[in-house]
Amino acid sequence: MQARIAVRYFAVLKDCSGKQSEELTVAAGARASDLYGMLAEKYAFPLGLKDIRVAVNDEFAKFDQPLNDGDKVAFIPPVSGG
Amino acid sequence: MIDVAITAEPIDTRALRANLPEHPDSGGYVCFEGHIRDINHGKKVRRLDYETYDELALKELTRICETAAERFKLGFVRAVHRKGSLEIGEPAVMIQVLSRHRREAFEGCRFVIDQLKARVPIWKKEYYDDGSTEWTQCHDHVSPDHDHEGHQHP
Repeated sequence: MQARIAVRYFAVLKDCSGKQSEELTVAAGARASDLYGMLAEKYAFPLGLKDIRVAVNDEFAKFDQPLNDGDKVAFIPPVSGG
Repeated sequence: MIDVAITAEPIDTRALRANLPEHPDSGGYVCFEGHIRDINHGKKVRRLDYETYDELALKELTRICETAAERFKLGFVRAVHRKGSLEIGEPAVMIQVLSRHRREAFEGCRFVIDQLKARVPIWKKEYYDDGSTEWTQCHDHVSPDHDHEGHQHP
């Protein structure tokens, strides 16, 4: 079983990946932290898990949350609004 | 009453000031505007871009305003943030609050802007005169290990 995940990239993560979003397939039961680890290696993200937050389906989530087929995931680098 | 927005259009601060709800029971009105500054960390800034995660930013901004309204007994809270490319001097953010007395109005307005800077998914990319660029970071950014409100600028 695999899960299709729609990933969105913002700010420095968008610059590193060179894209705003993409669709990826992960093993069923994979966690948000697993996905980030994979992407961080692929794109050489300069941020670790301790620096960022994660959102699943447009709501803040825990990194150990298992991902489901069709989930929308966004990794949130340190914010700088205002 | 809560009013939040993220807009790609210039923030019309004058129109927003003129457009407050009727507030016969509110004697205190406080407004904060954040404008684009030309120097950051000693480097000359030419312009900047704001990128936003609209869906989550609007939810989080609404939650912050609701918390402020309850905690500081505000009759009205408005928070508007700009996105896209901005020039020096342009307003990037505007917070307006109404309350019965001035103390709650000042404190409520301060709470909203501080929380916005710490936790709303908005990112600022600065373009410097020397040609370099940088995604800046609020030093009160909420990290996952520290996922609760309460950071305040000194």
